[in-house]
Amino acid sequence: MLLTEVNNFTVNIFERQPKIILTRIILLSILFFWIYGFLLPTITSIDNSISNMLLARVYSNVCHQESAKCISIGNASMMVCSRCAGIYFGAFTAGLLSLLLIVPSISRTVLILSAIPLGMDVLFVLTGVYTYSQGIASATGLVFGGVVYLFLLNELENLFSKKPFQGNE
Amino acid sequence: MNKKYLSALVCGFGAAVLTTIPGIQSIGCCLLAPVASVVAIYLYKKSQTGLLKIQTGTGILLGLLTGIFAALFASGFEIIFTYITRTSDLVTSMPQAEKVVKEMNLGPGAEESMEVLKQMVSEIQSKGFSFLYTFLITITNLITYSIFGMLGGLIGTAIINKRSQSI
Repeated sequence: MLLTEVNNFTVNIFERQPKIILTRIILLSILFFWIYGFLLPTITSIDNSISNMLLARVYSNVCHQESAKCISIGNASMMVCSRCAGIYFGAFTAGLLSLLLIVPSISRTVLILSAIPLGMDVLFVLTGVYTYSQGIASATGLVFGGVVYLFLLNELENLFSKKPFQGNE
Repeated sequence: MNKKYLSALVCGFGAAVLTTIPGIQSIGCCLLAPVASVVAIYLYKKSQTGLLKIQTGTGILLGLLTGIFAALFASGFEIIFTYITRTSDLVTSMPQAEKVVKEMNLGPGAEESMEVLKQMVSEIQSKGFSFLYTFLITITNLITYSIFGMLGGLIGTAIINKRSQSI
């Protein structure tokens, strides 16, 4: 029953707003490849040192990659820290949910509120209130990533589906 | 110079300078390029008197330009530092990479690519410059900073426009 309702809803969305669904799928695919890239060392052994160096280099631009702060699976660790991984996984989860559900409109206040736990965690670790915890860093990143993704999605969908701003530019 | 390019140039340069400061990246993480784009949009809006709203496309373009400038300056700084110090991240991480390749016994493909890396390292240590290394860091910088710059541009436009609406 529930599955039928979800299916009907999805079909309706596809029929009514194909551009929106396409935007969501494209964005999610890009995010998937980005996440796959930093998970690669934990999934498979890269037998090419140049590819490995290039991948590490790409992610080093967006993350400090300190080994103690990266999540390890077996002997290999991800190419980004726990906080960044949390942000991307949060965005990916929000992206998956956005394919089935109506995306709520995210206000600037919500965006700022979602950044507060992350900012506080950074501050507390820097000031020595507590030591770095991969769990806390991931959790705060997860919330922030999800909200940022939904905020971005709203803006992209406004750009593609609605009339542009009536500004005086 | 067009004010659009000027604000992107200033913020791109600022972001590139920040990337060279040790410790900044451990705080800023992936937020340096997006924040630089937001500031570029803010400066652009400030410079255009009477501009009420910025179009999303303009915001993304500004973010992209900021990312490109940041990537070019960051690459430039890295090339200069590499030339002066005759060392780089690649040189310092080489022994570790060699150890991993030997331990994991990854086959002939790994050996061949290791040779190319060794050549880059020896060029950096002897001349302070490797064309392949320069090309690779510039390309990787351009890809990541452009993507994150555009994201910052999109978010920044929305934040600044909403702020204008509420004032």
